[in-house]
Amino acid sequence: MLAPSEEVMAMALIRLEGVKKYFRVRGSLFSALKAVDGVTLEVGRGETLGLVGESGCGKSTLGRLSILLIEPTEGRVLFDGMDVTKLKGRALKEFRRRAQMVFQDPNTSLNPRMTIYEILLEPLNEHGLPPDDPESFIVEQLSSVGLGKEHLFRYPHELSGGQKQRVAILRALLLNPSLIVLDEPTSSLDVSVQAQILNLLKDLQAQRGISYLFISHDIGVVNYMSDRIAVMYLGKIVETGGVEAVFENPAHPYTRYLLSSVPIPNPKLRNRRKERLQGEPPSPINVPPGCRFHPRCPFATEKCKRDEPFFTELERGHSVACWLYAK
Amino acid sequence: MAEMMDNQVLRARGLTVRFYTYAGVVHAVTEAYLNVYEGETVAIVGETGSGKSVFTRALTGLIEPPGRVEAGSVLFKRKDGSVVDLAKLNKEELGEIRGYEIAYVFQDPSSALDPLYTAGDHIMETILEHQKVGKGEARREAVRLLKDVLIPNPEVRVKSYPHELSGGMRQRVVIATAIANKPKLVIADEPTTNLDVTVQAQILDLLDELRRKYGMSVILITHNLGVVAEVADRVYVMYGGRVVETADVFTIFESPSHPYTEMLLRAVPDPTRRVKRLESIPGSVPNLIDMGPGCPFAPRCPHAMEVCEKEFPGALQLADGHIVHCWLHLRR
Amino acid sequence: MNILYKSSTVLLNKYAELRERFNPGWLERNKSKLQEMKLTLYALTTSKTGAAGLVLVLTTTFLALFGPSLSWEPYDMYPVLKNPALAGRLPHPPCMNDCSGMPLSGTDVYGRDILSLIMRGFRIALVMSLIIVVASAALGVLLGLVSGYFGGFIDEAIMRFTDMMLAFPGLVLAIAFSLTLRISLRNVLISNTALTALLAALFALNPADAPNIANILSLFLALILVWWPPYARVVRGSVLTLREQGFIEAARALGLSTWRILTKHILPNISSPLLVMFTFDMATAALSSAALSFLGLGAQPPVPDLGLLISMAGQYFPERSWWIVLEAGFALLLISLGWNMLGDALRDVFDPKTRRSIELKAKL
Repeated sequence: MLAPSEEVMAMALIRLEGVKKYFRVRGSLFSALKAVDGVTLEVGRGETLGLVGESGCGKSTLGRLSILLIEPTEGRVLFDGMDVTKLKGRALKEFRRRAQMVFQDPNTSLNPRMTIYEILLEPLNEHGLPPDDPESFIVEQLSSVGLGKEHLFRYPHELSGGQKQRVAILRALLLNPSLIVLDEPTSSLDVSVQAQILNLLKDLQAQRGISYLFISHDIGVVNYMSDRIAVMYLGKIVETGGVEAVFENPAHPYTRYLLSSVPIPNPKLRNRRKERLQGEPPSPINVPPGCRFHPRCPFATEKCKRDEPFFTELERGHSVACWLYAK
Repeated sequence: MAEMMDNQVLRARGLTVRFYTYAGVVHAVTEAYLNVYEGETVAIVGETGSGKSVFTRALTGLIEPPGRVEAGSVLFKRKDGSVVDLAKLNKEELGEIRGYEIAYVFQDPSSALDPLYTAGDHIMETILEHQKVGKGEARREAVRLLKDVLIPNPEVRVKSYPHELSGGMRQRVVIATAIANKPKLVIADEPTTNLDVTVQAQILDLLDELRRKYGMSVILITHNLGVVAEVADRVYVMYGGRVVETADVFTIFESPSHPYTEMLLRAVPDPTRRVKRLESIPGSVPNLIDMGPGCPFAPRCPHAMEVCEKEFPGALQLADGHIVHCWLHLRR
Repeated sequence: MNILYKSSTVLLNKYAELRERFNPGWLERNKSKLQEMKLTLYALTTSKTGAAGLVLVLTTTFLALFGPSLSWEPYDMYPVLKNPALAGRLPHPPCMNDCSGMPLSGTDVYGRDILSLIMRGFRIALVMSLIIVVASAALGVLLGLVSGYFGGFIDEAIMRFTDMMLAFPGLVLAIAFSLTLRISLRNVLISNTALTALLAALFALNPADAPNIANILSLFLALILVWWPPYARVVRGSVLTLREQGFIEAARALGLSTWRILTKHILPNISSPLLVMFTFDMATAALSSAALSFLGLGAQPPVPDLGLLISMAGQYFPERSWWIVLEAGFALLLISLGWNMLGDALRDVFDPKTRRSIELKAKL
């Protein structure tokens, strides 16, 4: 890869343009599972974009699409100014070095038959970067995520959940990526351990300038980690903006309901006005026409039922896809 | 102290549960206690290994070998006003109480419901087990209960199988089954952990509504401090199998006294505030096998003293209803 | 039970010491691996089936290795030819008190000592089973891996082919293959003395007896051809489950090559059900090859194949050859029982649920 030019440096690190992912539904010729249905998203250099949504919204699929772990049905992925959507073979492998992923469940993301040493050495060897003194190199790296020499030759099941997740994070870091996609990295960890891991992630970002695409359903965690945030509903982004802007002035009705449903660890606020969303998150197989949220939206108009809203910019960086705000 | 108060529903004291495995003795719960009064929601908060789940199962004798309840009394006031010690009852007597006077709601609604039986079957089963009514009456009651838990089209849904229902609806069915016999006490173990945020809010609202409507008491087990702040009246904090602090919910959040409670509160990301850094608790949750006599939090506690490793601190009453177990406070 | 475990850990520790001496630091690096091995051994030897199975397998393997050297009579010499007067008394039953020069365990119709023949028979049975199972496993695993991992058209094609092979009754197909392969194999062997010598050494037979060796070869080639489908099926199933596991996805995200994923990530994690299949198959293969030999499709006399011995005893059964059937049958029983019990115990050892309870017992 050539050194990026000035224009490239100013652009976002990764840009998803009109990305769609449809899955075939068994036994049906016509209906498809529209996991991601036209998403345009950017993550800047050195920043954390939080992606929130509930089950069925497609955020996990989107995360996997952005590092091409699955192929998009439509749309492009631009990384560092280059179109990487259709990469294969060696070029794809090169791309993998620069965009990595940390998965949700540390208990299954490490090969149970390999020692920690083997797990960490493998990507280095595979990409032709074998260190001179592998053992001491890896021990040094372990200390950067708070682990020690004693963990080197152990098997994953001998480590705790938090320790395993640290190994997973280190494994992603070893190739020196510019982007790491984190898919619910702390959901299966205890609260006290979660704080450790989140702090570690923040420190690493400050040291190395990595960008994070942070996927989570936990609003509190997203609030802590992100610079900007994107709210996803049924395969589409409904609102994006700076974290403070969106949390203080949520524009989209779904965002408002979502934030209102989050339990706040402050009993004095328990009697605040709460807007409760009725019904269940719908299935991505039967996507309603027009604005996907209209069946549950108290402000839905005829237009909402027919036409899909486009993005309106409310203020700098804060956009919402809703007919209430369209000019 | 030895008697129940007038409006008290449950009084557990000195409950100790051990699991005898070949790797060693697991000290799951040690000298835990609990008070539950009429019409209130009590939250038991803790992380993995705190003992909260084992404790609440031990209350109604749901501990199977290799686990054993070593000691403790669990006084419970029944619907007819009589007081019994659950720890001393036999299987049959406990069977009468479970499902009729004390009901459980567990974390995973998919495994709590038998996939071969409809929603209606589940509810009717518990009604017929404990009440002397006919099948027709039980079925009508089932529909009424489904309406109570806000399931749309209850007459249709009563015939639905679990796999035809979403996660939120399944949990509602579980709740309907739990309240079918108007129990005095509902024990809910992480009832919303597997659900989406918006559904979680609905379910918590529902539990609160039903509690008010039927005059039940609720024991809510959770690790989510936000949930605790929203619905609980009083809180018990457990760590390493012991109760380390208890107080009403406002006190716990505003003036936590135990170092673990303090640090736990600071480790929780607050969705309403932007903080620069979360305070984490170093180390990890304790190994409960062959635990020593001291305070289980000592290895991770920044204020740990020599005595903390030797002996577990007794109860210190800081204020009405606020009890803490910590040498830091006992010394003063 | 404990003796087995103690002796195997002593062996393991000695091995570790040796490695450490040549390679300082080896112990530290492999402490966890050693621990795993010890736990597996403990789990295996604690169960009665495991211990018994292990003992039987070790015994029959020992006999297979050293039987031909330990046996006291050559198999291709017929005593009756040297001593025609014996003819009327053959086959001679085992003698209780008075032997008058006849072997203790009885003879066959040619006057050969049955026990000596059986000692050689172990070698043939075990080498056959080993070759059949290893070769069919290799073929089946390869096809299963490719089928399971790549999916799509390749999967369909391989699976339909497997279905086709499975649809035929195994033994019938083996018979058909064996009969057709025989002639061509006979010619191959006669022209290729090196190959003949190799096979002869493997089975502890006389290399001059090329036609018989060709018969054996045709037998196990035929069995391999029908033996592989279950492996392909099982491996494909395991791969499908494993494919969705987090660490496989992680391996792809890391840019690891497909070959590496298949060999280092998928294969080691499906080794447990494979190993269990392997052990059960050893028993079944031994019995199947004996059965085919019994039917006359394998080696012909004088080869001391256990199935053949039973077959030859057929016409004199039961009063005049019961000991032959008993002894040869017992030998087969030991082989198949041993491997079956071992497989049973291994399955418990590898099942994570039963393994948990065993692990809690161990205080290593």
